Amino acid sequence: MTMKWRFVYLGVLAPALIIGLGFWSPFGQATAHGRSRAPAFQVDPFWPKPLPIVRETNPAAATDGFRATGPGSSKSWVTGEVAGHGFDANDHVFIVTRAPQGNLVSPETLVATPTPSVVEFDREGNVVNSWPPNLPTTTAPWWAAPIDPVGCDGKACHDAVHGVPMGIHGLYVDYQDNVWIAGNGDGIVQKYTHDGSKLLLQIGLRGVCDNPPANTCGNSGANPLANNSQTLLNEPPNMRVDPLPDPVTHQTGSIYVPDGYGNHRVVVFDRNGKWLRHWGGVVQNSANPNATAHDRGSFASGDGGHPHCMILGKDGFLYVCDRASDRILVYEKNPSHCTNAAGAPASPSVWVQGDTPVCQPVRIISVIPGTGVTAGRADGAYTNVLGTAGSAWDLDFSIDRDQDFFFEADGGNEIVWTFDHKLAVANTGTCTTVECGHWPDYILAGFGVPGHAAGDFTFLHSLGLDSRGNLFTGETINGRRIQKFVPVADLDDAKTRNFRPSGYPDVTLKHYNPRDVGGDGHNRDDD
Amino acid sequence: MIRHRGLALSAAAAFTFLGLAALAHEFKLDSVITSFVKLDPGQAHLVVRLPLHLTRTIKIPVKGVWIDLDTSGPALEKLLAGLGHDITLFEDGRALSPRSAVGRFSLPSDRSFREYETAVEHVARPPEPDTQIFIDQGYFDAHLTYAIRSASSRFAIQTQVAPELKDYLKMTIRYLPPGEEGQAMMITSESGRVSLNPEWYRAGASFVVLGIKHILTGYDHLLFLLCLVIPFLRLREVAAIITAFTVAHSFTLLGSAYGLGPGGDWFPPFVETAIAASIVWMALENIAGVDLRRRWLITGLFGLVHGFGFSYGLKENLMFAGHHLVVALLSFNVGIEIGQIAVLAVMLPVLALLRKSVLKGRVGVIILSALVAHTGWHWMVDRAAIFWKTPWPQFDGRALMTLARWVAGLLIAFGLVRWLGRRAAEVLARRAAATGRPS
Repeated sequence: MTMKWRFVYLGVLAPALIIGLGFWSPFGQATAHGRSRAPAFQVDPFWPKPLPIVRETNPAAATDGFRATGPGSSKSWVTGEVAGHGFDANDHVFIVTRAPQGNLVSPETLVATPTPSVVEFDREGNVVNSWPPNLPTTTAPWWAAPIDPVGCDGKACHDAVHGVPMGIHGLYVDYQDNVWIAGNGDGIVQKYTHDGSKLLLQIGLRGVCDNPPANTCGNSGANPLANNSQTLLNEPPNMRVDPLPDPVTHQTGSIYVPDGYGNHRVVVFDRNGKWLRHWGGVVQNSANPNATAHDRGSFASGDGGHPHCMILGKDGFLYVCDRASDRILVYEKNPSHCTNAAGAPASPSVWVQGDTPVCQPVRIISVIPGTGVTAGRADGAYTNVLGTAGSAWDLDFSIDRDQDFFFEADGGNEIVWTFDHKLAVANTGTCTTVECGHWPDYILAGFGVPGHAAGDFTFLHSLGLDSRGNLFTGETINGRRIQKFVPVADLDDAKTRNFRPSGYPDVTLKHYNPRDVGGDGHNRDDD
Repeated sequence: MIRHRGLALSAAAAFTFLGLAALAHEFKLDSVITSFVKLDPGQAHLVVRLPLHLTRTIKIPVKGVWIDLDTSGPALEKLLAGLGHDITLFEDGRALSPRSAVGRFSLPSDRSFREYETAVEHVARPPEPDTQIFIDQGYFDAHLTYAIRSASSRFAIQTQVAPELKDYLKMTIRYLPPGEEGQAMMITSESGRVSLNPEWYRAGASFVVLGIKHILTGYDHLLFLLCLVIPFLRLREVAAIITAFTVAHSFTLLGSAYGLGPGGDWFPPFVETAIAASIVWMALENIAGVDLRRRWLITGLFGLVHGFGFSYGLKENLMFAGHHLVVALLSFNVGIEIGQIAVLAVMLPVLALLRKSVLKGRVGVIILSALVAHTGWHWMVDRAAIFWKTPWPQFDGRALMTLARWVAGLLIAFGLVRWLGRRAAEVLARRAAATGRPS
């Protein structure tokens, strides 16, 4: 080897050995930066796989004379609003979508076809099942709300069992792999077999809601007779099933329903749909009916689901989204501190409706305010009215044994927030206005911005994690999709930017880009 | 739950007990049977979790839509008998019969089968009295025990559960021998009898066969070999080139098997693309008529890439090597070389015949190489399209460290080979001088 080549050889070998053996790295400085405990998520833009293309079977489907859109033509499935999703024991992802209930927009109504209401994906994102089949009609759009083929064991089940709930909203797969569906345009919660072929149970009556005397479905508002039925619901958004014995009956399978858009309570049924208990009710501030009084143990009266979601923690508590009040209420499964109309009211400025017990949560966790406006503060600062759509839309825990984190779908800001579970429940204070909470200490980081690219959100609505820690989100109005986010590592502080919650310019939270958790080309600021 | 002592199986049963009934029900493609095989002195334990939808050939009593657990005893007996028949353990080639079995039904949310101990404890416990298990949703769990002569015997396993599902139905096995680290493997009904703890020579033999099969079905590798030898007419002329290819691909094959290769989803498509590119390069070299005396060097470089390609076929089968990982690696490599030699033994004479008769001289080399280049080009473009879509790796400190290690390793290996070559040349020259013959 000539001297020149010898120098080249040694000149390459020496640094290769130094770097390869770890004595030095040009990236060493970057890795010395702090790392947040928060897990980071990266969007998987290839999930799910492209939806199937199917043949149009509606004999009345029209053709415009130029394109083949009539019977026999090939059409792509499209989803409507993905209002909820869940996971079975094999980490298959189930979504509910409102496609057959009128979400499609022109020209989709001619050149595409809606997916069935429930679609099941395997882990790779392939469609493996869907139900029930859409019912063709003779007028556009060429489908109708699906007909459920069977009732409970072939017999009528709690009366009227035709179809999945209108305004299909939440989905949950229980510990027996049965699929539950709720609807905020209806008064029912349904339980189906895993493949959707059989309806096993229905709570409530289709189209009939707990809103006496007319029992119309809709916000029961100040109706003192509402929130009390033991058989009817009012636009329930979701449900959960407890695999552990109920604290009262000691039977497994209790059904917890955040009852929901029309009502303002949590209801618990046994596994057969028999009422066990409920609590909640609406509390109104007599001075400003649009603002919530944030009294302990009640739900906001405004729009958007009150409560909107609920999850069961391994700690034995319920975590309930009081969406319009921008808070999470943590309850015992059988709350031990309750009052009713016969008891003392919570405070002179509020009153309790009807006979619905008002129960004290064990904790109140304040979240980022939604929709860009904040509640008035006692000191007169930030005297805006609270945004009605709220921000606590959905929750789920991390998959570790201790559930160190939970994640919140902040629909008001289009962000998924990571909460430190222990810190969030550490606040035992009685102050219940948003600025009294110890946040943002327990809000570690968030990702997502309004938009339509992979990792952005348009009407972020639901959130859930499978058993492997993959996080899935569902979007409704104009979003109409499910997205998958893969946990990649603990979050590197160097990859985050500042986020300032609306109305709180002195507060900064960490926000990152799920397309590039290794680097953020953007440096936007909310202000 | 049912306990059963001394299972009596139908003699000479030629059909499987468990599987899918010929009904109009849909079936699930991605099913997994989870199992543990643990050896104790004098007995072996097989603990199995079977998805319920695979038990449709056995009639299970139902109450409404739920399994009637109170009256499910006879069905459990049949399921246990079926399992004992369809999954067979062998000791030194002899099929074992279960001497006891216990089984139960379980909810789909149960996670006991993550560990052997919790699985055994779970199967031994009956379901809670008010458990509702929907027919088809859930598991049948079983614990079978077998009398064995010795825990040091050679054991094998075979599954014939639902053979109509072929390799869609997988069975994971965690083999737990006494006093040793356990191993995990995955088989299907198409795997046949699989050894759980093969002898070193059996493991070696099977991996030699695997290596031969791998090269004979690796058409991109064969096309590369063809490209290498097109300009040559005699084996002697290609010996150095083939040796360089062999040494280089052995280096990366072994390194990759030990997990020293780059990780990430990007790497396999990169390797596939690079293999196709190597074919195109060689073919173009043949057409352009470059100096073939240095061909061994470029072949060595491309051999590194091909080694990574070989390693994918090796890695997915390493679970069958038992404790003989090194033997398996070396045997696989030997198998590749045997296959290579066999291919060249056919390729070279055929090429020589073609080059002497129909495709003579330089024109023959160009025509053959152009045909190869055409195929290689299409492969390269298709594979590059996939590679382009794959998320590229973050070039961080860890990636740089891996790259630096490979560069250092290659340079050291190159330097060593070169130094050895020089020493060998000096020794030969001295001997030649001493004997008066030319070296």
